Parts: sequence; C-alpha cells; structure tokens
Amino acid sequence: MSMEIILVQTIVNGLMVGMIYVLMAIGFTMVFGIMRIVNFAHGEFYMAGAFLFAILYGSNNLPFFISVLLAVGATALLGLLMERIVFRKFRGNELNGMIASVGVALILQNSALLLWGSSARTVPPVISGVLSVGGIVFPWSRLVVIIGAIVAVVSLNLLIGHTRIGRAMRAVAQDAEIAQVQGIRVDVIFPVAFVLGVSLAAFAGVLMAPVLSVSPFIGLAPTLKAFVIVVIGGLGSVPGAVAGGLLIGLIESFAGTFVSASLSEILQFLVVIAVVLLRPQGLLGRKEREA
Amino acid sequence: MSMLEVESLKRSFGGLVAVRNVSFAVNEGDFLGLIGPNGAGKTTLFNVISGVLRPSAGTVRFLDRDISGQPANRTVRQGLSRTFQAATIYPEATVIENVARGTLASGLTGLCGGFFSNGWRLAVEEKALHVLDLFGLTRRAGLKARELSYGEQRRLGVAIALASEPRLLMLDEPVAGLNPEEAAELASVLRRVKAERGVTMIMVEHHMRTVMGLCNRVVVLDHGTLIAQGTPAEIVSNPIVIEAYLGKETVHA
Amino acid sequence: MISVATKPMPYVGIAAAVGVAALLPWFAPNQFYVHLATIGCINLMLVLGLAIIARAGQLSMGHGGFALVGGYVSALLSMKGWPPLLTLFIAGLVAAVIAAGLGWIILRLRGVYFVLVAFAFSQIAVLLALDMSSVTGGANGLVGVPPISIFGYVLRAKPQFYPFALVCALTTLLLTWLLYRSPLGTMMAATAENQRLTESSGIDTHRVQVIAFTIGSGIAGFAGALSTHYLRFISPDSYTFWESVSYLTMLVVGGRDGVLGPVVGVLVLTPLPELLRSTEGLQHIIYGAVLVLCLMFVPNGLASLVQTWRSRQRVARTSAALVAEEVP
Repeated sequence: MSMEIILVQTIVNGLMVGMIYVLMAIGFTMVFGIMRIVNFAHGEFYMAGAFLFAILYGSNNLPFFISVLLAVGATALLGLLMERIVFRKFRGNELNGMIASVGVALILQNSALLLWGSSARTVPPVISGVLSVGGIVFPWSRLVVIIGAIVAVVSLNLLIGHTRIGRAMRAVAQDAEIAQVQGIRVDVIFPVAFVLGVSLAAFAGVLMAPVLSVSPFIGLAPTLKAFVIVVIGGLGSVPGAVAGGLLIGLIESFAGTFVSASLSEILQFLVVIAVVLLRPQGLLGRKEREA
Repeated sequence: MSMLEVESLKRSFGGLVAVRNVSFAVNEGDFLGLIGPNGAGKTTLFNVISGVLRPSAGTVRFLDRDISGQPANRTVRQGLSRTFQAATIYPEATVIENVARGTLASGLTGLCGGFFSNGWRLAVEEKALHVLDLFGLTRRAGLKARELSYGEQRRLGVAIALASEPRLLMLDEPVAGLNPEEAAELASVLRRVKAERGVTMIMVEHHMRTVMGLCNRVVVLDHGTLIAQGTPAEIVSNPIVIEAYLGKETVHA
Repeated sequence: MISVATKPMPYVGIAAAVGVAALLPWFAPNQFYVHLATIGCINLMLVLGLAIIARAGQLSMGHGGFALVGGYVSALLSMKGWPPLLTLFIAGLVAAVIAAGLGWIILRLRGVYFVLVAFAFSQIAVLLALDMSSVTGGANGLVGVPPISIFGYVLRAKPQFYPFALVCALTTLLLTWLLYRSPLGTMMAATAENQRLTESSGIDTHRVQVIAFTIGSGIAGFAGALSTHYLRFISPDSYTFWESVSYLTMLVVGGRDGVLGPVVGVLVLTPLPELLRSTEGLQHIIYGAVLVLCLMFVPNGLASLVQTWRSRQRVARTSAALVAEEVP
C-alpha cells in the first residue's frame, strides 16, 4: 500500500472513531451539565444499542431503518426507566450519583451477559463497496458511520439551539434553581436530557455494531473515552466534546497505525494531565465562577 | 502603623469590573463598616482581601506583609479570619466539634502530631468551650450544628472564625436574614468579643443600624468605587452617600 | 464531650471479635473458610485505604490500579531475590509516591475531574501491565511469585498465611482509627464536610486531600502486594475496574463514616462472590443492586444504623436534660 492510502485510511478511521466518541461524549456531558451526574453507566447504553441492533438487524434480518429505530427506541426506554428508578434520586448529589451509576453499569452489563452470553457477535455490513474520489478509495461502511454521526450531532444542535425544550435545557444547565423560578419544568427537563444522552450513546452503538463485534463488555471503553474527552474539552461543553472527540479519535488512529495502540492510550492520558495542569476548565470549557 | 492596607485594588470578571481602584486602611482596634448599595462590589472586595479571589491589580498588605493573591488558608494562619454570608458550618458535626475544627490551624500539633495521644483533643476542646461561652452557645455544645436555630447557626459561624484566634476578623453580612432580636443578640456578642479579645474587625453590612451601632469607621462603596469614608456620623450626613443610596433604595436607618 | 465514652463494652466486643478471627483456622470446617478469611483481610485493607480517601471527601475509582502497581512491584522485586517482607513495604511506598504526584496535580480540581483522572490512571496501569510483556509477562501475568518468609519461616500454605494477613489487616484498622482521631483525621473530616469553611479556618485542604489520597493508595499498594504473595500470581486481570468497584461497594454498603463501616462491608460482601461463583453475571448484578439500593435507602451504610440509634439516645438524653433545666 502506498503511504497516501495508509494516510487517508488512518484519517477516515480517526474521524469515524472520533465521531463515535463525539456522540458518546456529548450525551455524557449533557447528562452531567443538566443533572450533575457523572454517568458511569453511559457506555452500557452504547452496548445495549449495539446488542439490540445486532439482534434485530443481524439475527432477525429486519430492515435497517426499522432496526435502528427499534434499537435506539428500546434503549431510550431503558434509559427512561433508569432515570425514573435510580438517577432522579441522585440529581445534584455528585458523589452518590456517580456511585449509583456504577451500580447501574454493573446491573446492565451483567444482565446482557446473562441474557445473551459472553461470546462476541458480528453484524453484517449495512453497505459495502467504496467511494472513489480522485483515485483514493473510502470504504462506504466507515463513511456511513461518519455521516450518521454528523447527522445526529447536527440535529441535536438544532434541537438545543432552536427549540423551546432546547432553550429550557440550556437554562437548566446554567442554573436549575433560577430556571425553575422562571417557570421551566425542571422535572420534565431532567428525563428528557437523560433520554437524549442515552439515545446518542445507543445510536453510537448501532453505528459501530457492523464495524466492530458486539459483546456485553464493549461499554466500558467508550465510557472511559467519554471521560477523557470531556476532561479535555471541558465538562458540560458540547463544542468541547466535539473537538475533544475528534482529537482523541485522530490521536488513536494515528498512534495505532504508526506506533502502538497502548502507546496511544498513554499519550491520551498525558494529554489529559497536561490539560488539567494548564487549562483545568478544559480546552473549550467556561471557567467556573470563582466566587 | 495600620493593620491592613488596601492599595489601588481592582478586580474584574471578564469585562465586568466589580472593584476599581479601591484604597483604604484599617488600624488596630478599629471596627470598620463596609457599606454600599446592592451590587456595589462589597462582597467581591471582601473575597479579594481574604484570599478567596485573586486581585486583578493592586495590593493587600496585612501586618506589613503582602498577602494579595495568597491562598486563603495561609492568610488565616497569619491572623486574618473571615465568615461567610450564608450560615457556613459543619452541619453534621456537634457544635463543639465545629468550633474545635476552627482552632486546628492555630494549634501546636501540626499535621503529624496527636497521633497517639488524646491530649491535643482536650486542649482544643477547652479552647472551643471558651469561645462557645463567649457566644452563649455552651448549652448547645453537644447538639449537631444542623439542629440549631438559624440565628444560632449564624453565631456559630462567627464562633468558628474566631476560634482560629485572628487579629483581624472579617464579617460578611453577619446579621442578614436574622430577626431584630437575633440581630441585637449577635451585635452584643460582637461587642463582647471586641472588648474581651481586642480583635480588630471589618464588617460588610446592609443593615445600617447595626453598622452605626457597632462601627467606629465606615467605608462606602458604589459601583466598585470607594465614594466616602469617615465616622458613622459623617457618613450619614454625607450628600454623596445619601445620593448613592437614594438613587437605588432607601437607607435602613 | 465529643470523645467517645470509654465504656468497657466496646472493648469486650472488639476483643471477642479479634479472638474469633484469630482462632478461625482451628474451628473452620475446611481450608476454604481460611482462604475466604484471608481474602477478607486483604479486602479490608483495600477498603480502609478507600475509606481514608473518602474521609477527606474524595472518591477513587482507580483504587485497583494502585493495588496492581503494588502487586507488580513486589512480585518483580521478590522474583529478583529481594525478601518479600521488604518488597511489600516498597510496593506500598511506590503506590504512595505515584498517588502523591498524581494527587498533587489532579486534586486541585473539582471532585468529578479527580474521579475521572484516577479512573483513567487505573486503566493505564492495566494497559502498561499488558504492554510491557518483557517485564510483566503481558496478559499471562507473573507466575511463581515467591512466598513471604518471616525469619526463615515460609508462609506457603493457607493456615500459615492467614495469621500474617490478619495481623496486617488489624494493624491497618488500628492505624486508621488512630488517624481518624488525630488532628489530621479531624481536618480530613472537616474538609469533606465543608471544604470552603475548612480552608478559611487556615487549613490547606488541598494538602490534606493529597495526604489522604497518598495514604489510602499506599495501603492499596501494600494490600495488592500481600495478595500477590498469597496467590503467588499477578496479572493485568487481577485488579480491573470491577475490582475497584467492588471495594467501593463494600465501603458504601458498610458505611463511609468510621472504621466500623469497612469491616461490616467486607464481612457482608466478601463471601458473596464465592457463594455465587457458578454464575458470575448474577453475582455482579447483585453487587450492583445492593450498591444502588444501599445508596437509596441507607446512604450512610449499614454501620450508620448503629450510630443513628446511638445518637437518638443522645438527643433524648440532651433534651431530657434541657427540659429538666427549664423546669423550675
């Protein structure tokens, strides 16, 4: 293979993985920004989305769009259930909320293990073939992931920026108490934000299912990535999550291709430490008011 | 020599200047009142002096040492202590434990001492009991702090600050939210603290009657700028001060 | 007035509990119980380490990472011929030094960031163990770690190792109790309850938290090493994220306030994995459910039920005294 092709492949892979991380990190950062809960179970919703898609599309041959809709919808419902039963009790209580989310992660991951077994499943590609531009080929299977993720991020942005519920969510993220005084129904915003975040994670899982294999244990790694990204990008910042996600995706892809995968992890950790030292509010985060 | 010298102090948040070019001094034994309409920058000034916020420009000198921008915990060990606006206490600890925690930094044990003996605890509790006595909280010593009334919690907050044995005590709106009876009680406690311990004090306060009754000098802030200083009598008759207050709200006098 | 009343009762109870623990090898029906008790001792040390960190108001999701570091350090040094009794302490020291460096950087941040970075650190520790296979044996780990020997007496079998583990655990328990009573322990509790107020009482809360993180992680390093010499084996799988979570679960279920909480948590939850060994998934689900339910209904842990009862008695006494005083 020529250097050029390797380079393009690396960039495409980096963007693909990066966009998945962006989806994960946005959901994670949204739940934190609005509910003040660090959700260690975030990746388990990614796992659930991927698994449901693998079963619906891979094993039962349902049409693609219906499978996506059902997988994301069912995971969103699961998220709503978890919000109602567990997370709402801990909103605002950062420490206990975080510990409770670990419990939820344990329950979800091992329920999947009991239900579906530990062996990895593969999902047939949604689309095959390549896109050839000026002699450089892009595999469609990966472009679909990038395009799908971009569509999700753009629609989320429209939702947050241009709808009433989006405005309400931003208000709650800024100060839940003041938002409540202004007549925003905070008790509605919390589950909405949580379900949105969970849906993004599930959608990321759906997108990645045909590219990687699916097992009950795939949730932890993207959770860790979401953490790393929000620390780099700034906790609660959506643009920060996008920038951080793409940065981490590209670092991972380049270091993985040219050096080694574990070196890339260590490099990412050092980036986190450097950001924490030099710019603790994150690259694009707002500085918290000191008073 | 003045105990505290604030020189050309400035603090801004982003583009917003909360305190601009403020200079004043506090002499040993003073009870200085810091007043001004809402949003005048009193609390910001307070936070900068006590080391909670860094100044954007200017210096704060305490006992001839530059303390500007130094972390709050060191400033306290040098003898400058403060209270907070809300009732700032340890709600789950007992009242005496609350005050005992306030004495820890001034103790002789340091971080590693007192590991095997209980002697330090007895010394600390004795100190704490003296402070509680001064604040009329002795009978509450064994209760959890959250079980106290709001007025008592506010008093406890001041007691914790005093427990670190400061030479200068800064009080952030000590009577805000208290009913007249509780406010009067706190004022008499402050008078007693002043008399018995000889502590120099600064008080940010909205409640004019408390300021006029306690302070020997008053500094007035408006829009982040120092607009007047003098004795309480001078201040109430100062046209600039009246103007600043009448522009926004009436003086509580 | 705040010091615990020195009634003889608790001391009798403590002595009885220690006696039962010490005599266990003699009346345990089989070796498996001794094994379980040894694991319990190691877990207790790890949970106490976590409790010390929590005492200062922080939460470490990377606790297993420090145990892993300790385990590898002690295994590697002892395999080079160093005496294991010495390498145990070196392991604790190395873990403590790493924690001090990491803590100094990340503890200036708000709690959430600290948790995330500590968690990331433990993942890096696992990755490094996997990656540096020429030193660490990669995924296969290190087999044949030498046993601990004390003055020539080799702790090879379970009944021989257990007393040593028990002594280590009880010493840690005693030191933790002494720490909690000391001025430093008081500062830690104050920092956890109201950091801003503690700071304005002249205490460098950042330093207090770094010290707590260093001590707690050092204990984790020691305990990880102890376990490695007991099992004579360590691999990257020995301390994963889920191990960190199980220590956290024990702490939360038992209670975060005193030294009793970790003991209760360890006693309740150490046997669970062994009882449910056949269905590993179910065991984790139960852990997760216990964790969530405890946070919802007994957020201060099982040990707090005793304290609530005690303080209710105290309040009753105090108000009775006040009423008596008021009545002319």
